[in-house]
Amino acid sequence: MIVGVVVALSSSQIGLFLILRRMSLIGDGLSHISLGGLALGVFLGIYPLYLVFPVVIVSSLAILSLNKNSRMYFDASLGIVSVAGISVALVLNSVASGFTIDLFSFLFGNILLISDAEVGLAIVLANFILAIVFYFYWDFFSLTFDENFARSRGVRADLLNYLFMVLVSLNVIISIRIVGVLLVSALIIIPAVTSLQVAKSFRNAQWISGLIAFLSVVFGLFLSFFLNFPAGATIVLFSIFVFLLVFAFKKASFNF
Amino acid sequence: MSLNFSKSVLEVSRLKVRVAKKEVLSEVSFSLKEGDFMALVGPNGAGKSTLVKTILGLIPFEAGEIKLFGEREGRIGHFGVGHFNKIGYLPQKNLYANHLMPASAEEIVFTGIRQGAFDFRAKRRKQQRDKLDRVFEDLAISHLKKEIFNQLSGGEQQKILLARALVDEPRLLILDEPTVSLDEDKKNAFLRVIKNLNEKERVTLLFITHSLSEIRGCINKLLHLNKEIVAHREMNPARELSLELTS
Repeated sequence: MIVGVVVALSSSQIGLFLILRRMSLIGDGLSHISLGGLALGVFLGIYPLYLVFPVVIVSSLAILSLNKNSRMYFDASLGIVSVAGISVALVLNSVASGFTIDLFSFLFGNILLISDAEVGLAIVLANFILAIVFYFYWDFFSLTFDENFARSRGVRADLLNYLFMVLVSLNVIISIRIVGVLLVSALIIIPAVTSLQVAKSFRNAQWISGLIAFLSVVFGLFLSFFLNFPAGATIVLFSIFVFLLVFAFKKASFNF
Repeated sequence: MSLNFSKSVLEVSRLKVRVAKKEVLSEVSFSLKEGDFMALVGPNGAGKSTLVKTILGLIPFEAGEIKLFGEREGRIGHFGVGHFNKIGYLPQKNLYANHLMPASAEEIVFTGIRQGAFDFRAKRRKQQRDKLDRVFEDLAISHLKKEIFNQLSGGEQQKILLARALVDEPRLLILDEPTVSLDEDKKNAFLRVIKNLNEKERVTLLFITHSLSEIRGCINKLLHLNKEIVAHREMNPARELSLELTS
């Protein structure tokens, strides 16, 4: 439960910046890549998570530099790197046998079956992400609003963009165990998008986004326990429910 | 005489810039001293914005030299420590600003003063807040502080961005076509603020414009650019008009 909340919180903060920079699908892309990394780990007989970290981080930096150095839209470069990940996973899967059992748990995640070590790692990393976002808050804010101006103020844009990609990678990896590869970007996108509907300032958006992430995990887990639903999907469904509620409320308040 | 005593703010000599392999600027030289007000004019695509961005360190230059406040700048365009907070920049009308972002006016102006990681010194943070409050008062826009930037009118947005450029009390203010989207009244009010800064605070101004007439009365230098300098002259009638033609 705690690990779920902490990871959802870090996702909700990372997500705000990602959406505003039109990179919201990077969660999807990187989680596909992590699948490739996992498959590689299983294939080589290494504990998969050790391999996933370098693979995902390197890929995320590759996406960023592809995007920067060639005439390519962000989603296109993301597409290339992410299908590369899936293809690698599928090929290795057919070569090695006995892989499919693991695959399923990673695809859908299960917060109730995570080992203590993984819980500890996820909590530490999520707090690390939150701390970095807080520490460089104004730089990230400035870069997101107006990158040229930020550069003119001496903000080290390139360095921070790469740092941010590393944070996103870490975030994706730790959320895989909770909601699974298929739903990683839900934790990143939904609370952030919901908060953007109603926020009065960026700070305000951060609080709302965090609050929605928190509520989604708490109520999602609660519901999944009583209704015997899969935990990850229930968390995501609950957050979508909150989104629709906020959206409807906003529309209604505009009409009156 | 006073010319000799005023401090050099910006010296550009024989500057050459390529963007995507095309030579955009060549052999551009000019200088600004404290209290100068220079208009930068030229047709579209003349390289006006490129020149300004090169000075700001956003675009690397190939040859030549840029000196800011008497110190040479690196070619890749990173300011020597402490220079970026002496320069205020008002980019061309909202070209890059993120319009989805629910940022409040206050938050945006704050990016003009705050850079680098979280500052653990409470006193510094207090000083920054004070400067922030002051610039909102000076520009008479305190009532906009909590408003969301992208819901403000064009004129109000322009004022917020001006506040962002001014909040750190720059010695050199670079304005890239600041009046384009403003109606006549707003334009005049805006120019009054700028002129005041130049005369009272002796802030050096580099003003890109398409309509020279709007600032003809306040400038003392004119740079006419079309990939290279077409004309560079002093406008102060007290001094002899000198026309330098470089080719």
